[in-house]
Amino acid sequence: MNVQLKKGSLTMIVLSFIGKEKQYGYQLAQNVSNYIEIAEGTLYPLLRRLVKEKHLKTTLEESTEGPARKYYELTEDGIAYLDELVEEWKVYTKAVETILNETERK
Amino acid sequence: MNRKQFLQQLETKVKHLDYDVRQDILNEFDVHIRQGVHTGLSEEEVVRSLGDFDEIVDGLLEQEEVKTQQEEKTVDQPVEKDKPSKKITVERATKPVQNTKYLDVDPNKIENLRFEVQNATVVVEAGDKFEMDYESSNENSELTYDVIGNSLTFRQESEDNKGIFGFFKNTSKNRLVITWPGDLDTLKAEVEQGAVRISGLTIDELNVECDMGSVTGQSLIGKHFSLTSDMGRVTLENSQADSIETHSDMGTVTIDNCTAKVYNMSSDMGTVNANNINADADGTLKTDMGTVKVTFREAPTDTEVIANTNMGSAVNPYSNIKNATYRFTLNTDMGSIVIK
Repeated sequence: MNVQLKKGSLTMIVLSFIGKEKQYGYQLAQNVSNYIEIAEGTLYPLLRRLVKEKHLKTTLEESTEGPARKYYELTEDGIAYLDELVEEWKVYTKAVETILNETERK
Repeated sequence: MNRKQFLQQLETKVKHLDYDVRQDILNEFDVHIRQGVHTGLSEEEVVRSLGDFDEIVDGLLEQEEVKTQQEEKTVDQPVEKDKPSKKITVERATKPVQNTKYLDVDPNKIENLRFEVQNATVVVEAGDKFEMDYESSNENSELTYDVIGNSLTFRQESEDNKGIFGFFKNTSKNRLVITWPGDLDTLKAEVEQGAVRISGLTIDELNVECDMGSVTGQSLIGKHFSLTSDMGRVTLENSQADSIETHSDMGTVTIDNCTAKVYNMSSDMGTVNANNINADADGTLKTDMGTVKVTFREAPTDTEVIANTNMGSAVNPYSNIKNATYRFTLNTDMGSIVIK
């Protein structure tokens, strides 16, 4: 799959999963790679950026199985940002779809 | 690579960061690999699924650097609009219509050209004498012009303008071609739908804004050039100006074989491409999602080149030049940076 396309939507995808339920890095990586092939390590720079931009906040929670996990959840700012991204995405994909339909070679 | 090897390698790459940040990063990857192992994978398998080591490191280090990005806004020049216009109503036509006979304009007295266009391709090119061709396949389109002082303004309206998606259903082809014999103080074009191409002219101030359609400048000489398109590509070739500013929301922005003192290029979703440009200049090149590519005509010696990328890779052979007279700053959020 086209790398630019993937990178362009990854922020939104990550925020969407976290918006559904708060989750830790490994869990998020599995959720995303169920649908899209990604280098899981690249999620962490993205997560750090989103925390820095205050779209995400983190909490450490002890786990019964292994070391403490760092959970990510959306801030209020992050919820608004996600809504914005999804809205933009819908408008954009609709335009692209329209273009493809209108220009389809018969 | 197993967990310990990965963490040791990572530690050497982040050792210059603050203790807290460093521990946080190392701990996160440590936990990730352990969790993978917990689900039954080998350490090596989990490390492999993390992807390219250098890419992860680049991404992490990029996050810890402070960046500032400022976009300069251009100031709109006032456009005179108060006097009545002479009207040229164009009949429905499938062949080009020559309208030159309507024009009682003395080009020697004109210093400023304005275009306010709803739906047409606009071409302005250098030539021996003033000519105008307007062709339209749309009976509802109207082209008018007026002269106020030393400014000549063309206005084109087209009733089939149906907003953003109307563009795709619109089969009309309107085209305005101006041949212009002299130099200009200003050329300002605002086009809602349709491409703009300006070539061969000397223009002090060039300002083109296109909502849907590409913008192209070729072989232009002037002082300040500003070319903008919301949905199309923006291209400037073989041109020279004090400052060159190009922007596209969704398209690629390219300048090729140009010379300027200041470059300001940006795209929200497209690639930013500066090919064969002079290095003794200041530049800000920026895109959110695309790649930034710069090729200097000669290797910079007195130019600081700064490459910032959030998620992509950066190739910067001139990162060793510091405290220089000139500075290029290249930013991309998602894409990579290539400098030659």
